[in-house]
Amino acid sequence: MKKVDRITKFVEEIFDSYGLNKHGFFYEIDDISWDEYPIELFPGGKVTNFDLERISITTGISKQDILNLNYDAAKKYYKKYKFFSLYADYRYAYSWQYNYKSKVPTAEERLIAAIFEQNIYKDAIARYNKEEIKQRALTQLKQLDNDYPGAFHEGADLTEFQYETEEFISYQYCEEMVNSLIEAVEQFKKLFLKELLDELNEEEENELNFLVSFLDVIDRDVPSLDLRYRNIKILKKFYTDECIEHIFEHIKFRILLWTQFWRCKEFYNNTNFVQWYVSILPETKYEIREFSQNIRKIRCAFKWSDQEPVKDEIFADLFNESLNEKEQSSEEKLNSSEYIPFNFVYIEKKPSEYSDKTEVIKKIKQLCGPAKKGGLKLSPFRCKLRPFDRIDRYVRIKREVERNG
Amino acid sequence: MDKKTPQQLAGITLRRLIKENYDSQEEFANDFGMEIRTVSRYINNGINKIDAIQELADFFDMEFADFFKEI
Repeated sequence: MKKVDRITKFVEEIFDSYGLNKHGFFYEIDDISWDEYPIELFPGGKVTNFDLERISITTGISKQDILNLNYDAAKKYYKKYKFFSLYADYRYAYSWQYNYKSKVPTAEERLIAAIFEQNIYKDAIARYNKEEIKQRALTQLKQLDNDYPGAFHEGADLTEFQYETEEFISYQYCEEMVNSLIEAVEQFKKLFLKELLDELNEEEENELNFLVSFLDVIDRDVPSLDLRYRNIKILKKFYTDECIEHIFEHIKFRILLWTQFWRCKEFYNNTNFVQWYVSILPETKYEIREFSQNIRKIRCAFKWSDQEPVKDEIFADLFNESLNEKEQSSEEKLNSSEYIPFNFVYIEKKPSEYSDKTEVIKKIKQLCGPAKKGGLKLSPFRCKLRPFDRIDRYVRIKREVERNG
Repeated sequence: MDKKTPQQLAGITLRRLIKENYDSQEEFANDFGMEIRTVSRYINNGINKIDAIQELADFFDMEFADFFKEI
């Protein structure tokens, strides 16, 4: 195997074990079809300083260690943060329970199934009868019509009926895994502040870069700006001029969103834990609320058979523009913009549809409510920022990057 | 005085609930996960979506019918 191939394999293993985004390294996205296509890590088969530099910045592994295929150096974050050894397991449990709606088989069960060639990948059993859900939706709408006239259409039918609901997944090491993630976020904060107030050494610089890649850290007002060492250095004056007390309210840790830990029943074992999560990424309160709603209820979408169409000129204009059609008369436009929108209604689940997690469900419902009623507290800082303040921050950051970048 | 529509009554109730539980509409919007312009539209023009009222009732731990009571 050529040296370049060995380095490529080594780097790919690093990306895989830490779940780092391979975009721009191993694949690109076609502008038109949005399809992914593979690319060479080292174009032309040449290991250049430029490519090594960007790999090193993303992985937090030094250029020399990459060139030397130093596996010990590559594993250092794996050893430091327990998260990585647990996350793969969590993903497996997540996708199994999501796809097959059943208990994850143990290693022993999987081994027995493999020996006896048993199929353990059984399709999910439909838990609900669509026609029965539709009838329940009709009953609910009829009842709601007492307070909200028009909710029910006498003599009409529900068409294009669809429904969705949620279920918990279970992962016994959830708390341990999230604790390790918290540790990584706190370490990023520590390194970030150290860089602002002092200076990082090379090892710390590498770890900070790695944590930015892994935690997917960006400035909230400039989402295209990752907070790797180079950018923090450029923005050092800008960030130190901002109130240090609120500095992390401007920073977004996107990993907390895409890992979707709130789907895990064990996530709610410790309320302080959930509160920490929401304090770091306030958007998760909305996600948890939506999830909580959908585990207690079934959301139905439908159109009434006698429903009147509505007009949407803005949508029609955009649609026509995207088709590059010739300009239409206003009458034509009105006709083409008519459509029948979907209506939505929630129906309560029956106790038998809750499985055995009613206590957790009650707890989450309360956590999702207003703080005055025992719900999770969000910092009021971000919502005090007016849109102008955010645009102003965006412009000042861009200017700073242009000046010093 | 004009009789209020259920949509308007729901909007009035939302305004009252925000006042009781939050310091500002922005704070509520942030907490509930709703665009601030949607909050002010609901308050000023009424709430015309059944599922939105159901979600709000659930959030404030109330019954759907409570949203249409004049206080």
